[in-house]
Amino acid sequence: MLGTLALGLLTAVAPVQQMDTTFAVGGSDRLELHNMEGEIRVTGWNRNDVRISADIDDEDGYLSLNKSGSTIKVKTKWKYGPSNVDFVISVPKSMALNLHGVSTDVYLEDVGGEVTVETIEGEIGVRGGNGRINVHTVEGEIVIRDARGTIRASTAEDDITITNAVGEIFAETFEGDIILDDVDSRQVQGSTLDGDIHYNGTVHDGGRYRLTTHDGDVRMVIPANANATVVVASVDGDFETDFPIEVKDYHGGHRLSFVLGSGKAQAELETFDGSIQLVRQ
Amino acid sequence: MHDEWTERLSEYLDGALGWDDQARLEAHLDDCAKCTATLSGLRQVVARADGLEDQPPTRELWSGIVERIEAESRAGQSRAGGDVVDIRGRAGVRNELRPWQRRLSFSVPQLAAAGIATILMSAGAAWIALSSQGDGSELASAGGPDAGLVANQAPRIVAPPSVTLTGTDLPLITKYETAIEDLEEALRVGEGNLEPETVATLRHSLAVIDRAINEAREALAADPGSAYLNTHLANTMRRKMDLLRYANYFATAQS
Repeated sequence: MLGTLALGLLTAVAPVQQMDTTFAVGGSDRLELHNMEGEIRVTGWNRNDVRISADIDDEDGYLSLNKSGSTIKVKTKWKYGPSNVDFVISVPKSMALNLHGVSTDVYLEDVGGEVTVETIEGEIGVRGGNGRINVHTVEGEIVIRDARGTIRASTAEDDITITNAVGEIFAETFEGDIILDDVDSRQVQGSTLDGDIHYNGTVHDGGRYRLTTHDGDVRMVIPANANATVVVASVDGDFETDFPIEVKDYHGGHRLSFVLGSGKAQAELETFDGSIQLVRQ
Repeated sequence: MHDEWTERLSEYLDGALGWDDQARLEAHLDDCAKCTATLSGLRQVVARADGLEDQPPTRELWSGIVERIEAESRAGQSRAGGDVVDIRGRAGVRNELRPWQRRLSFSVPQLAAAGIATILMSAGAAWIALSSQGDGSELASAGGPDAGLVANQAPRIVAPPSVTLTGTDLPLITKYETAIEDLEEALRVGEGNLEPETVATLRHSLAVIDRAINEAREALAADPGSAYLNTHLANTMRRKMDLLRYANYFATAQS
């Protein structure tokens, strides 16, 4: 339907070009967007249309839209070099999104399909998402809420916050905190090197929960009736708990383990230099 | 950092992947030399770690345990009734303990250092519950069904390690070092394709990782038999390798 469409923008004298287009999409169509610099805002709506509005901060820039199979591809193009483009996009709620940037902030609201976001310098905010949710940046904060599915989030130098999420979570940063709050998950891996990790959520029998940092605190808040085999490791830190525990085993000079209830879940809490807290909800 | 299978190799080794994922990963291994090499390295680490015996506790740490428990005891006896221990946390994260849920706080090395810690941890819990609740009949409801019920458990003292490893003895770590050198060289060549701010961020993150690696190495030198420290060092080096790969990927993509 879209075929190959190049939208050369005609306003020669204006420093900022604007484009706005709306087109119908099928139920299985996906949106793929590349924006080198600027912002991408996507909101889910209850229509089978995609609306793309863009402010282009360069008179020689334009957008390339084409459709290949079920994938609608949008790219920013430049005659001389990339400039800032701010996108505001509306999509059907269930539409899968594949968004890429370099110096680009990405914000998604009320989306209900699979999500992939990759940027280098930029923050990422996602409200919603269902299925595979992959968000990665190098420098920028990541905030995800109300997501359902398998969440993979990584940044090099900032915090990751995931709230009200259901599904597996893999969160990784090098310098920043990881906050996992109101989480219902059978598998959680949170890892940072210089930052704290907080987990407040469920512990399912058979579940696996691994929270590790090098220089920071680990705090896990779980139900009082949780069944988990817990391994705690620290080189130079304290362990605090309000669970009545019986230390079952110790390993080397830095790890110990104990069992809560039937011990059917596995929890590993590690910090090289920091405190560890295991707290009842 | 982005190869979804790389971070699931340990699950594969643990047999924790479902049938579908296992089949997909094995198909991926047929085409991915890096994942195959990483998996081989992980298998070596597991084999070596399985051969490790935990080290016995050092006697010096025992006095620290006693001092802390006695200090808790004195503090508890000086307080009338139960008090609320406030562990400050993030907004939205419940951060108060119930009055009868006094916090037990010991350093992990201290706890791990003595097998007798099992007895004292339990005794400490029992004392806390008793002193705040008044009598033992309330213990079960206050501290949970198992609180204070393990005072007769014997301490477990394990044999000295039969194998002593240092971090640099691990083949995986040697491989990581080689890979990291190559990736660092590649980044030096390609970083001109990245924005200066991005390069600064990457350099900063790499410095954070290097600091962690150095600290892990120092700790490992003092405690070479620690499986935790070996694993921690290997994981931290892997993360450096992942970041360098990621940086090189983007440097190449921008060229």
